[in-house]
Amino acid sequence: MQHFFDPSLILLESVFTGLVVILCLFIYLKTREILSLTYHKGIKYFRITFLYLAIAYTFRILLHLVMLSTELRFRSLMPFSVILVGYFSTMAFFYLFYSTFWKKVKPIFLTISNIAVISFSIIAGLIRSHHILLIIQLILIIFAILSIAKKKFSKMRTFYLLLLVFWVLNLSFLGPRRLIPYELNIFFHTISVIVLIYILYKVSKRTK
Amino acid sequence: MKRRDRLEVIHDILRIVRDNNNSIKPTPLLRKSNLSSQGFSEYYEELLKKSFVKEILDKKGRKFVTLVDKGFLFLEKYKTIIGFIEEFEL
Repeated sequence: MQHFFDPSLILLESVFTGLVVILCLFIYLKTREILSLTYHKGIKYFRITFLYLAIAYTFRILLHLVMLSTELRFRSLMPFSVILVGYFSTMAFFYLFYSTFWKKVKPIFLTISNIAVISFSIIAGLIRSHHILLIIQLILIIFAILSIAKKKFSKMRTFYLLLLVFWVLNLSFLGPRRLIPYELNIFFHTISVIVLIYILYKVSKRTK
Repeated sequence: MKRRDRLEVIHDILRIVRDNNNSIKPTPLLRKSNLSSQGFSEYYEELLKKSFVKEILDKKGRKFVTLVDKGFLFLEKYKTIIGFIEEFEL
């Protein structure tokens, strides 16, 4: 049985979140020059993915704290946190998909996905539940798996997929958890950090 | 014959300028770039707008194209850029 609000575990999770955010921002900043030279759409969407993931992870920890808080004034922030986490994380999913399939993506898709994600995030915020986001993101992951399965095995796409899967798992652990061990969440965070370190290593190697 | 992608065309245009002592008239550049007039105009405008190249006039008022820093940097980093795109499957 887990304590409702263990400060040391919250601190540990904050440290992991901080690490993820820093790694994502490093990837974003390291690819700035390559974009300014190429104006390549795939690179542009790739960068946005990591910027949005950094923002989503930042708001995720805020949402987590809000959900654990017993103070009403903090709990009133919950709808906004759900909307922000929902929008930035789901759009990060879309942008990662667009980065690899940008040749097939028409500008209208971007507009439609933005409108759809904003709508779903607002609904999730209004009903104060992140579960609707989980369902949408799971559908996107299934779609991504199907897209990858059509092509030959690719290490990088597998890493992309892992990144998304562990985000969803992290999101599913939000809120007061009594039955699920907190350590499992830390394990998922660790895997996310390892995947991001690998991507950052590859980015650094390729942008020297 | 394989159709060149956008970055490959840009690389070819910039390389032609550099290999001509960094000074070439637009017409020979069009001819050497193996593009249609319309296609060349689009790339040329883009390269001017994004400051990869600039136009200079000689004493007789003839127009020449020359690379600027960003153009040289693109040529220097071209292999890195292609490697990046392939590595991350973009």
